[in-house]
Amino acid sequence: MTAGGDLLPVDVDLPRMRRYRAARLTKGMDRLGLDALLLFGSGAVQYAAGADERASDAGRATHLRTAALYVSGDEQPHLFTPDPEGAPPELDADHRHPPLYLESDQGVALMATAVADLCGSVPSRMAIDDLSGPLFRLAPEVLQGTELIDASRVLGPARIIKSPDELACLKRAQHLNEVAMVDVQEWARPGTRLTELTGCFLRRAFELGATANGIDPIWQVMAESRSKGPYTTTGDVAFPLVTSDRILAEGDVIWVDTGIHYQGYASDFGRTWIASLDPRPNRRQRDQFRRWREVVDATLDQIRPGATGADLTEAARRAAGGSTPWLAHFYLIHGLGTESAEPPMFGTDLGQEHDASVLLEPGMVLVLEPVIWNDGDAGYRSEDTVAVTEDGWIPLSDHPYDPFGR
Amino acid sequence: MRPDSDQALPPVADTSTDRSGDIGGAGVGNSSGWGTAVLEEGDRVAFGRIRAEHHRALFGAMEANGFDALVLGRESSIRYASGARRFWTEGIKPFGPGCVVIGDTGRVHLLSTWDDGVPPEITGEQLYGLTWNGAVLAAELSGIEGLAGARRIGVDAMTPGAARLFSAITPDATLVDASSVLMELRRIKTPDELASIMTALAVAEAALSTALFHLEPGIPARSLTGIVAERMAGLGVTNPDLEARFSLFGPTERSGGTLPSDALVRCEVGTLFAGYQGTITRTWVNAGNGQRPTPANSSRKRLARRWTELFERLLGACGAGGDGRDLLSAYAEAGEPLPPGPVAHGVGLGMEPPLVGGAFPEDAGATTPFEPNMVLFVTGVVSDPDGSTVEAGQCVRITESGPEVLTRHSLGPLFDPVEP
Repeated sequence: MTAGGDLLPVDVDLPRMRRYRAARLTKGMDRLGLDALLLFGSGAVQYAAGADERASDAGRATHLRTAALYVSGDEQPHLFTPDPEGAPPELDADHRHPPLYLESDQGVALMATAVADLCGSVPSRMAIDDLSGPLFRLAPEVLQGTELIDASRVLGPARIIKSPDELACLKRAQHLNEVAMVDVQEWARPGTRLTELTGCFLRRAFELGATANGIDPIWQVMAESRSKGPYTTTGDVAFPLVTSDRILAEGDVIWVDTGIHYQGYASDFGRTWIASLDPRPNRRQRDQFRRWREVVDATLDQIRPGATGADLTEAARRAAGGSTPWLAHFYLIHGLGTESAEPPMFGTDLGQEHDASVLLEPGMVLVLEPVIWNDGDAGYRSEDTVAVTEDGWIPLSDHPYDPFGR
Repeated sequence: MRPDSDQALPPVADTSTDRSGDIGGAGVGNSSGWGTAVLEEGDRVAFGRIRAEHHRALFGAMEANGFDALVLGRESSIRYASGARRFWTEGIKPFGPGCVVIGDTGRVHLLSTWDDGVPPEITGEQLYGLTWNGAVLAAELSGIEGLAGARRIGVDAMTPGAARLFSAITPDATLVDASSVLMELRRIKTPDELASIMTALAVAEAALSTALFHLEPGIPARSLTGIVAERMAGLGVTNPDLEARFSLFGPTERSGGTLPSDALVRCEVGTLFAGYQGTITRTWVNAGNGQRPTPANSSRKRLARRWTELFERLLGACGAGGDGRDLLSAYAEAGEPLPPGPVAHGVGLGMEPPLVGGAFPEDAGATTPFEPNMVLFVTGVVSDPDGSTVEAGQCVRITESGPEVLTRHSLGPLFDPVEP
C-alpha cells in the first residue's frame, strides 16, 4: 500500500495501520534472517506495538517500560506494558504481558526467560535497539548463543515508507499543531515570557485533541549575527536552544519549533515570527524569506519517485546561489513518523554520496527546513512537510508564514 | 571565546552533620517557602554547589571502582555528570555516547554543538557536536584526551552498534556496566537536591490545584492535561515527569474521553524542576464545584478510611534501617492487595531506584536499606470489588527520626479532615 492518489483517509483505521507496520517489520526480520526483534525505545515501541501513548520523562520510561517483541513467523507483536488498558484492542490476550524490568539482574534474567519462552527456544539471531546496563553485563550469560544486531537495520527500512493511515495521522498531528499556533502567535509580543508561549501552546494543543507532546516547545530568540550567538563547534548558528523564561522585546526574531503527537505520530511546526503588536519585517528580512521560498520551491520541484536525495540538496544549493541553505549540524530534509526526526535525511554530514544513494519512493515523508542566514538579520527558518506520491508530492502542512507572507 | 574560559567549580559545601537535617540552600529563611523566583539574600537551590558535589562524587566513584572513563547515554546520568540544562524530549531513546568523563584529566565532555545551557566548567573544547556520521563520531571521541588509552570504561547502557564503535576506537578497553555505581551516587539527596525536589513538588501541586478547580462533569480529560501544562509553564517549568493524566479507574476509553459527573477521577501530575522530580497522585470526586469539598457517600468514605489506615502503615514502614519489603508487608498487614504499579520508587533526577512493588523483582530495590535523605514516592491504592478505587501518593523523605511527608496538597473531599 502506498500513498497513491491525493486522498488520505479521513478516519484513520488504527488496526489496519498497525497490521501494515507489523507486516513491514516482519518482512524486514525475514530479510535479515532474524528469530526475534526486541524493542525498548519509545518511538520504536510506538511503531511496533501501537499502544496508547503515555508520554513521560526518560527516567520514568526507563523504570516503567513499554517494550515490544516480534517472534519470527508471528505477525502480532508481544506487548510488555505497565499500562494494560493502553494495549491495542485487537491484540490477542496471549500477546499482552506485564512490564519487563531491565535495571536489575533478576529483571534481566526474567526478560531473557520470557523471550526464550515466547520464541520457543533461545533465539539465535535477534535485533535489539538498546541494552540497559545490567542487560549489557549479563547478555553473554542470559542471551548465550544469541547474536545481537542493531534493530535500526529493521526499523529504518520499515518506517521509511508510510501507509495512507500513517500519513493521515501525521497530517492530523500537523493540523492540530498549526491550529494551536494561531492562538500562540498572537501572544508572541513584547512582555511575554517564552515559557508562557509554551503554556498557551500546550493548553490549546491538548484541547484540540493532541494525544501527547513530544518535545519541549522551542521559541528561540535569534541573535542577529553568529558572533553574538552562543559558541558552536561548527561555527554556524546555534539552534535549537532550550527554552528559558526570557521576556520578549519589540522586534525579537523568534524561530519556533514544536512537535505534538497524534496517535503516536509527530508533527513538526517550524516558523519565524517577529515579536510585536505590529510585526513588520524589514526589507532584508523579507528578502531572506523570499530566498527561503525559492529554495523550498526549487526543492519541491525535484520531489518525485526515483529522484535522489542529492537531486534535492543540489536544487536547494542552486536556488541559494551555490551556498548551503541549512544548518551545518542538521540537514535540509528529514523524515517524520513516530520519531520527530527519522530517515530519510538529506544534507547531513553523511555527505552527497549518501544522499545520492537514496531514491525517493511514494509514502516517504519529507520535512523541508532550509535556513537563510544573512549575518546581521537573525535569519529565516521555516519547515514545510510533504509526502511523496506516485507522481510528485502532497502537502501535509498548511500554515501561513505571517508576518512574512503566505 | 568559549574554549579559553576555564572556570573552576565553586567550592563544595560542607554537607556534614550540621546541615543534614536541612532542606535547601544556605541563607534562605524558611518564610520564603518554595517558589521559582530569585531571592536576593541567597539561592533556594545553589546549582553550582550541586554540580561541585556531583563532580566530586563522580570522580571519587570512578577511582574507587577503577574506571578510567565513563561513557554515558541515559538522560539522568548525563544530567548528573554535566549539570547541563538539557533539551527535554518524551520517552527513552536508545543509548548513544552523550557524555564522556575522563578520570585522568578530571574533565567532563558533552555531546552538544553549542555552549548555551552548558555550565562554565565544561569548556568549548570539551564539547563534541551532533553528527549523523559514525566516522565523524569515532573521530570526535578519539580526539578526547584520555579516552583512547582507557582500559576500563564504565557505561550506563549500550547498543550493538555502539559496542562495535568502541571496540574500534578503544581496542584495549573493556566496557563495564556502571549503572549501579551511578545510581548509588544519586541515592542520598543533598540539601540543594531536596530543595529542588520541594520546588518541583510545589509546582506540581499548584498545577494539580488549578486542574481540580476546572474539573467538572463532562470535561474532556485532555483539557485538564492542557491546563496542567499551562499552569506549570506559567511558573516557568516546562518539563513534565509525566504528561498529566486524569482518568477513570478500570478499563475505560482513553483518548479524548470525558469525565462524567460524580466519578472518582484518578489524577496524576508530575514535573521536573532542573531535572528533579515532583509528582503527585490523588483521587477526586468529579462534583463540578471547583475545590469546595462535597460530602462523599458512605462507601467512598469507607474506601478513604481504608486508604488512610493503609498509608499510616506505609509511613510506619518508612523508617531508617527498614527497606521496601516493609512496604510490601504493610499492604499485607492492612489486608489490601498490591497494586499493579510501584508501591514506592526513588525520587531524584526523574524516577529512580529503589523500585518496590509486586511487579518488580526484589533486586529492583525492595532490599535497598532506607537511609536518611533518601526520597521516596509512596503510593497507597485501595479498591472495592465493584472497581471503585482510591489512589493517592505522597513524597516522603527518610530522616533519622522517622518519615517526613513532603507533599502538602490536600487529599481531597473523600477524606476526613485531618485532626490537629
